[in-house]
Amino acid sequence: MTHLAWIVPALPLFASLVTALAGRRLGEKAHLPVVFGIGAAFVVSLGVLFSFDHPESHKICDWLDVGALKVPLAFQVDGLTSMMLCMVTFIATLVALFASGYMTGDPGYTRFFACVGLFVFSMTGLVLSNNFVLTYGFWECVGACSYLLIGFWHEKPSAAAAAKKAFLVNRVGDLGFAIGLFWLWTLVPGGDLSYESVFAALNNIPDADRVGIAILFFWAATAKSAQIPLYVWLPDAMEGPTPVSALIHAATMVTAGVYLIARSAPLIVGLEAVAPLIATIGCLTALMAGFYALTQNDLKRVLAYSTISQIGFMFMGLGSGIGSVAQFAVVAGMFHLFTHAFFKALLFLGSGSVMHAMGHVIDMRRFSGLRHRMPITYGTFLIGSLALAGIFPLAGFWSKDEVLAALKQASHEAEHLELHGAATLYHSIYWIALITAGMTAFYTFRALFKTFHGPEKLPSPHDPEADPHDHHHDHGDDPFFGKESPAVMTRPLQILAVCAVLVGLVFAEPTTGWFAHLVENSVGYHDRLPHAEPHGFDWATALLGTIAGGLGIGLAYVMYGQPSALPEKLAGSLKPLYSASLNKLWVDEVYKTLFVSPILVLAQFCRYFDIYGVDGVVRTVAKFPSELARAQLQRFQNGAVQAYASLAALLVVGILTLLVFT
Amino acid sequence: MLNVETYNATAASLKAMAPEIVLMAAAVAVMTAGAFVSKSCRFWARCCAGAFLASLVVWVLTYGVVPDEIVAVFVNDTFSVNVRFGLLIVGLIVLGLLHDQVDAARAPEFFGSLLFVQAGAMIVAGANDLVLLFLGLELVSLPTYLMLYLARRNATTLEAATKYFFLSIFASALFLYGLAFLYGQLGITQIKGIATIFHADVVNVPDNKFALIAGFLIFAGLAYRIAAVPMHFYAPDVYEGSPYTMTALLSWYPKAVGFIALARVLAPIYGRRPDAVNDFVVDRFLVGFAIVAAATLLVGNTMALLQTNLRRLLAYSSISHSGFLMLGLIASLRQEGPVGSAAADPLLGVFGILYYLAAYGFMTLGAVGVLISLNRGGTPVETLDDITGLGRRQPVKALFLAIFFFSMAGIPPLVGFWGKFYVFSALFSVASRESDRMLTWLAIFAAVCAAIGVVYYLRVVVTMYLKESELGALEGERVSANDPWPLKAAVTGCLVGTLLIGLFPAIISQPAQRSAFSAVRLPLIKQTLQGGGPTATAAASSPSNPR
Repeated sequence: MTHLAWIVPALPLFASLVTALAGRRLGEKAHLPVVFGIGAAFVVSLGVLFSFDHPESHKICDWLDVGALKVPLAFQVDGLTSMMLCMVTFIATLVALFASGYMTGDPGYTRFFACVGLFVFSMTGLVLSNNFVLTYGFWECVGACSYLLIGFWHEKPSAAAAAKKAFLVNRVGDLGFAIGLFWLWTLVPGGDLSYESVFAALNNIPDADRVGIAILFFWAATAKSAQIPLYVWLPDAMEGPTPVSALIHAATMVTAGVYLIARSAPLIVGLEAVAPLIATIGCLTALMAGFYALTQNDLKRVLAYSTISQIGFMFMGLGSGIGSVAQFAVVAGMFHLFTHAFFKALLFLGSGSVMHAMGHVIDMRRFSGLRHRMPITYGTFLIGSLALAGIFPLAGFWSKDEVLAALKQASHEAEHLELHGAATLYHSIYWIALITAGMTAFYTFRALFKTFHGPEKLPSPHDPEADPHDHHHDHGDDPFFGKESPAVMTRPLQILAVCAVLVGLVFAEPTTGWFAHLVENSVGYHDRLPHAEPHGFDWATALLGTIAGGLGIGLAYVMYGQPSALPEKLAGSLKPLYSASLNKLWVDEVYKTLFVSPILVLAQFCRYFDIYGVDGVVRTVAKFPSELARAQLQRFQNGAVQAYASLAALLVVGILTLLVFT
Repeated sequence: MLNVETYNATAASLKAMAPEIVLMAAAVAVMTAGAFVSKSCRFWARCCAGAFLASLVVWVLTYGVVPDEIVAVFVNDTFSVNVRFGLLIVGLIVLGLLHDQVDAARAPEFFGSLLFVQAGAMIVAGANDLVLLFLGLELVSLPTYLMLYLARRNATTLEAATKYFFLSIFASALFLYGLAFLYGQLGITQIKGIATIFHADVVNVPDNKFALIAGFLIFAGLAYRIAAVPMHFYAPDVYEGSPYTMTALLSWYPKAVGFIALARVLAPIYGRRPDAVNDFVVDRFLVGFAIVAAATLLVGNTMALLQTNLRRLLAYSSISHSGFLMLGLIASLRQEGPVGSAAADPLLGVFGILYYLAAYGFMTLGAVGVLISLNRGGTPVETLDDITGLGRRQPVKALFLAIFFFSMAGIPPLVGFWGKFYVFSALFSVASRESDRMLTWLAIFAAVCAAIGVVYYLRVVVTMYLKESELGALEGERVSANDPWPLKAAVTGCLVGTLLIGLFPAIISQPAQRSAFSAVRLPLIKQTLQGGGPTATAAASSPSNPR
């Protein structure tokens, strides 16, 4: 079955092509090919998951064969891949199903599903590829598809700008990946960049080179996975349709960076500088994004920052891989990615359901108390929130606990290796992560309470806070305004809610350990990742994490469970902190002044230089031939035979004279 | 003994010429019958096609006939066989373009003339004798005068025909003068024979200056056919003054014949290995031809920028193509690069010419074919203005025309790209010699001219696709005349050639390479002439070559 893995990306691609070509004819059914294509891909992925027993790769054909660069179109099937494939196709199927209800009536219905198919194709191709070059190719495809989907409503200037921002920021990251690739290529014998041969050649690669390459790859990952300093595109990316946000945040895009680092773990392991760097960046990102999320008024924005924060957790997990913790660290990071995918998709789709009912209003100040009107959405959103907050026994609890446990072990390991600086670092990261976990619970439940609790209130155009530009959806003829969403949207929510409850229990280390077994069975892991004997379940950490989550929920209930003046008072007394959080530490503004503006000025200069300098020269040169013809050559073409004959005779004699007598 | 040799050679020559004889017999029959029977134009076209096919059959039958290369007037070497086959195929395409373009009353003479032209072109490809070569050339020219006159009778056509006539005789005179010099040197007319003596490196045979004059006059005469500077002046006027049918004819036959003759005469006689004793003449020729090629490229490409009339544009385009083909001719005179240089290929020059000619035939005839088809609609298509917005009005024809013009501009992966690629690489492999550095500059100049050329080819495409048509807005969708199948088949054939050979250049590069080799190869001198010694002259590098 494993040799059929190529079908997984092929099906969404085929479905996307069918939709693009026959979309007009399919009309309202344009979602069918993509939904079924991705669904079938999920079934195949399950087959791959259950049938593989050791890492293997299958070559389809040669893709590039240029000089010393040979890139086959070949697929890797191992634990990491099959896990990612199942997760991506499962989430994407549900999202596509949800979108078929959510996007009804949109003029770009077929375009949307064609792009979604392409997006899933790119992501599944990325995780299936067996070499760095092909991974890079699909990595770029993912970036391009995200551009298409974030800018789906490109007539809206904000959407176009967000798409551009996402693409450009990702390009900055891609640069790191590309340079890393070139660097690696110079070191690997035969220019063979497949994972197997790279990992096999690692012993011959100097540590300095490995550090450089690992940092470049991590640079790429910070862009795709929205970490400091390249996270700025993700909050804006929710300008796309909400199902796209769910895809990007849960399955198909931000996970790519985490996947890349996990995939390169054999390359990174043993480098004392890199793992703490990854953990530190992850920690800072998690704290910062959690801090932003505390005060946002836009439901999707809260979720977006929570994604950034949770990916920070994943990187903390991956970054705790020093010494013998290496394997456990990768498992912890990837496990958090895995569980997070379910509950974050659930939360985003839930917010989409709210948005659908509220006539595309997402500002939490304009609606409240929706729990009676939208019971299913409320129930599932509550489960998602509990999972995100890390409450036992939901998915988030297990994975967050593993990340925290990995951090704790890393600090012990560092102590053991007599790296006292690193030990202190991991120790502080552990505590910051705990605080961030509490913040997570707080802002998640703040959003939940503000949306679903309190007095019932629906947005109306006469609302003083209404955005004057926000009227393109007329409430009058929307049958779902203020009502629960249709079944095609609520069913995926319910399925995801069930998953959010169960995936932790089914896969986690203390219960079955299935996930760990799966991931350990990946290319290069067995030989290169040191792993210690499994520690017992870390009760202290679990308790601390639950306490942090409970405190956050409780605080949120006190402040937002009932209408009260407390939040305003608090905001007033902590004015600088509040506005720093609300304005996201002004990072966007700082970036704009530091990077965007100078580049724009340079671009203006280049533009004028191009128009007046280069073009001027080119135009002058280009004019020369026709001017030459007009001024000199044309007059000989006078139409008189005798002139032609004598000219010809004279020239022949002239050239002959030149040749013979000189 | 020698008489038997001669007799055998003559008999074999006649046998090898059977395809041409078939064509000429058919021409005589058609022209004679035309005086007595009145039939439709298509009938005569059908007869003509029948003659072409019969000639093709005879070509297959006479494939294995090999006349002696020193004595015979007509040879059947690989060059002759392959090139004549190519001429027949392209001839069928030309016939497809012309088949219903004349009045029924003048059709028999017209198609009879076409058969003569075709026969003349094929004779040139196989001629081993200067006299037969001249005969073949005139057999192309004389019927062309007639066809120019027959195609349409009005004042401009008459002017065009007259211009072509006078300047053509002038060129023929130059050519004959050159032949006379050559004959005066050695007293024989067989091309391979002359080449063998020239290559024997006998001191003072031939006299350098006379050989130079002879060669350059031969070139000057042929320069008229290929429309190279300074004999190019007629082309724009004649193209403009005659209908598209004649554009098709004039753009193909004289050019092909001219370059085939140059490859037949100049390359074997004057082409030299760089270590030859006697390469004064070659050095001089390289200078002279470089001047001519540069001037041709300059005139063709710059003057084309000013044109708005499509036929004048095609005329200058044809001149510029001659310039590129000249690069191949120049390369053919240096038959081998420096010893041990991997880049050197003794055949690249003639090979480049043949390849470029094939490409030129497909793309130019295809473009003219589309214009003929557009002209059938009633509104004449004369200038660039007439094809504005064609992309919207007639998307298929516009696409075809665009592909042909892209090919002429040399955009890969179309066949025109490979044509340019091969002549340029031929020139570069020659230019690697220290003393031939000047040729590098010529190549650079030619590349600049190719870039200029892209401008006016693309202008046609831009006009078709990016300019709004006032015509279309006024008339709406003009119903396009239903094209007859031969025209469609001819244009489609050109398109297939342009695309297919562009994607798989090896289709014709293999036969073209073998043909080129046989054109410059010197014949093995038989033991009977040598007096019994087993040592054949070393001038022939390879004993025989596969077809």
